[in-house]
Amino acid sequence: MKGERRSRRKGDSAEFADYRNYVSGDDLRFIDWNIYARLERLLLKLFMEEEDLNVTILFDTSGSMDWGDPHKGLYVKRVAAALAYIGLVNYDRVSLFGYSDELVHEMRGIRGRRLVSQVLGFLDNLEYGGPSDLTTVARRFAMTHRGKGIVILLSDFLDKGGYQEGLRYLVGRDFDMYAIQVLAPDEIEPALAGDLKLIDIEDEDVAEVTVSKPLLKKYKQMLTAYCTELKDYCTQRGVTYLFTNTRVPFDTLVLSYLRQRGLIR
Amino acid sequence: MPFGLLAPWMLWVAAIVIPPLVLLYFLRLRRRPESVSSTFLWRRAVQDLQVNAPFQRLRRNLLLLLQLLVLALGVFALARPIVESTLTSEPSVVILIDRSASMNTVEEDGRTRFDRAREQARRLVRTFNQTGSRWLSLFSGVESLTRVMVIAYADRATVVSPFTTSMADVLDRIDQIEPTDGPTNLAEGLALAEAYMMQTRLEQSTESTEQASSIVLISDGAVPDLRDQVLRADRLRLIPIGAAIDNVGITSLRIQRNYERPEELSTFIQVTNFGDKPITTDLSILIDNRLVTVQEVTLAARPVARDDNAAVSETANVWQKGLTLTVPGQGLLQARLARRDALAADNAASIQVPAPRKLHVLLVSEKNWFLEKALAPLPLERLDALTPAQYEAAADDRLLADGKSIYDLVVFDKHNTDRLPAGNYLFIYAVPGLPGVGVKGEVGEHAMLWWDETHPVLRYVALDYLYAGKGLELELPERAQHLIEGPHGPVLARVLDEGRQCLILGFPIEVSTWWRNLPSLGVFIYNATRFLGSGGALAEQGSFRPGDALRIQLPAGVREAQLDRPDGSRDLVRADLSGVARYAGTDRVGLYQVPTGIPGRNRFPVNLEDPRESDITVRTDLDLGGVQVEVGDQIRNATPEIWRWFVGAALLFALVEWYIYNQRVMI
Repeated sequence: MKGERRSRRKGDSAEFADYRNYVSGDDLRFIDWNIYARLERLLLKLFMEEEDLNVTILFDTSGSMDWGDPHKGLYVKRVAAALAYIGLVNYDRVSLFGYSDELVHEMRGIRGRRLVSQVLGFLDNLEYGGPSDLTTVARRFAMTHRGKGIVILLSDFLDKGGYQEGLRYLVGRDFDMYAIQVLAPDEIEPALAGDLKLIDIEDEDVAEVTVSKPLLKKYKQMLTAYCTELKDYCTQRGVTYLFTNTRVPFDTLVLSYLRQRGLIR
Repeated sequence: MPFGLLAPWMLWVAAIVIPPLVLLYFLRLRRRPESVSSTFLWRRAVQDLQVNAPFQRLRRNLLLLLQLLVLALGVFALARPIVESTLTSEPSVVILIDRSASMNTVEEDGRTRFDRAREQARRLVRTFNQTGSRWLSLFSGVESLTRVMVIAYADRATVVSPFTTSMADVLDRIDQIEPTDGPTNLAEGLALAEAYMMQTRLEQSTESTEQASSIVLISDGAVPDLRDQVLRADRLRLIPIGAAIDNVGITSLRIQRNYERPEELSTFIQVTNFGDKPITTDLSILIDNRLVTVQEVTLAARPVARDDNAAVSETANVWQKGLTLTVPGQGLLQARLARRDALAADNAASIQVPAPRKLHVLLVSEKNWFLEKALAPLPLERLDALTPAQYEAAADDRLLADGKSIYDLVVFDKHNTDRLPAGNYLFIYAVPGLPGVGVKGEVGEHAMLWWDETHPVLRYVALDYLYAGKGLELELPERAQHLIEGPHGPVLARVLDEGRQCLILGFPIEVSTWWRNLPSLGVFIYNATRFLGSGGALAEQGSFRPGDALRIQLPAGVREAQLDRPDGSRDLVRADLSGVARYAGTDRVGLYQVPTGIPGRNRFPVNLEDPRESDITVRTDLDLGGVQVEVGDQIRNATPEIWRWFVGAALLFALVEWYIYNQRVMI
């Protein structure tokens, strides 16, 4: 069923979108023979896809989100609620999944403006806790959901198991992916000093550090490198990446940043 | 300078204390728990930092290092480090402590020089044998201990503590030394020290012949010339004590009854300023605590260039005055300076004034017309005459009272005798039966070669054309004072013995040309009578010097008497068979009294009257046997301990540690 949203993915609509190089296995029907005749190169014609939109919002409810000032979890909830509202208003199928090391909260396939209050109630009752394991969650999600639609992943991506594999599962399912990394200001500019026993609130892991100036500098370098890496990973795989700090008002994020990234119009 | 520890066992404490600190540091490091959303980035950052910064581990341990340093310094301070003087290595040390009168000078801090000297001695002693802890000797083997001896000297030297290695004993003994007002007799102190050192060397000679020994002299340096002294110790070091120079003292007080008018008392007083400022003060003279006169004394500062050999009286810093006072009876004459100065002992002097009386003279002679003629015009109370036989046969009470001759002067003419109670005697062509006095033989005609014109006995006596027809070759003890010398030895001599004062004239007057020059003979007899009868006799000595022995005549039948010392303490004196008690403990100035003694002869004023001791200027240019004595530094601390520096450093490092701990973010 085709919807009214023009997908970023290429599809089989009548509207031409782009060319790309032929790789073995591509449908021969889409090869532009005219080009081949002229350039002796096999190029594939791509067309715009128009779809009935599945908006899936995957958000992190692991312990690490229950932290920060302003609170990361609350921030994520608000963004999720806003996006769900937009989806519902546009008569899209909206699904909400909260995950930690498993898909722990689910609200599937709702449609229509009147269900907004359900969404809000659902979000309101979420509990945070448990370690995050994007890989398991993404694999499971990918197994149960096939292609098409928008997947918005809201997380801090501070996953000890790594985000790469999980993203790969999702990317492999050919979703229109958005990754929004939410970090608290204290994570970006830690106000820590001295001999500390850092306790990971997710898994109670203890790291004894002596916070010194070089360490802080190093931490920031590591954070930047991590975020950059994530961004590059996403960009290379056609995932739209967005970094936000909980100090940025969520409405600004939704109304201006996401609009710029083309998630909403 | 070598470095030592007084409590080296504290290093063991360090060995015990430091490992737990290290342990505690790693165990402890009380880290503040802090929740974070994820430790994951932190771990990576820390790992990265450690990989990239090889010194990070060291930096992280900087606090530990500082703490170790603080602890080490603290323990080291507790181990009481000292900078040892080189003396500590010497096997035997003799400490000579000056306790003469000048050491009683009060210094600026209110302590006397003697207190300071004692303190110095204590500090010095504490530097010995302190490293020889048994704990440490486990490692360093048996240490040879320093043997310390302490000698205190003033007019006499006494061994305070013989050679010992027990420093606690030495310290105890040093505490017991009392200051005196005696003169300085360093020579005796050195002689004593060397005697003991020779002894120990002999004892030790079987073990080692190379035993070094040294003498440490703690003194204000007010010592007479020591050029004659030969130093046999390997090393002599002087620790000079004191700095004060402000002193005005009575350096002489003499009295004499007028011969013709006995109630008149001639008093001679000399006051000397040893300070560097001119002064004016009052001198009060009291008789039996009744003020008689006050004299203003104005003195210049002491001349800067000091010549010890110059007569003191020539300079403007000496005030001399002769006063004639009327003292009808006996009494105690006191001279007091109103001014307070550093040395109090010489600010007052007193002297016992004898009762005025005309003389009682006994002539023991077989009729000598010349002598009788010479004695007759003298203002005598009584002149008795006895023949030698009568004298020898006379009953004791005819001649004696209270163990003393009742005559002020007994003249023996050509009569040797040993019946000599305490008193004054003139022997003419005869000798007294005193030890060391005798006749070697007869000599023929002779002239007089030399005579002491300055002696009171020979004043205004013309002896130039005096010839004696015969005479005695006198045998005299060494201490005899020769007044006239002839070709065969002394012709006139003064001999003192146990309260007896004798003038011995070696030739008979009638067998000489002297009788022809009657004025000369008359003057001699006058002088001799006056000299022997009034002042010079020891028994009637009006004042004493510190260290003099007192000869106390007790009333008949009294065997024991109490003696009040000037400091208020009391001593018991015991009389011998002749009723005379002797007391040698006159180490302080002041009045010694025997209340139960014979009135008029029971008060014994002891005065300093010693310009050498009154001159309290500290001298460091001590010359001993022509060798300049090495001047040592003051020992400033009990032991030159330097633990304070370590405590200070520990505090400093503690501060640094604190700063770094608080600024760790800055590292």
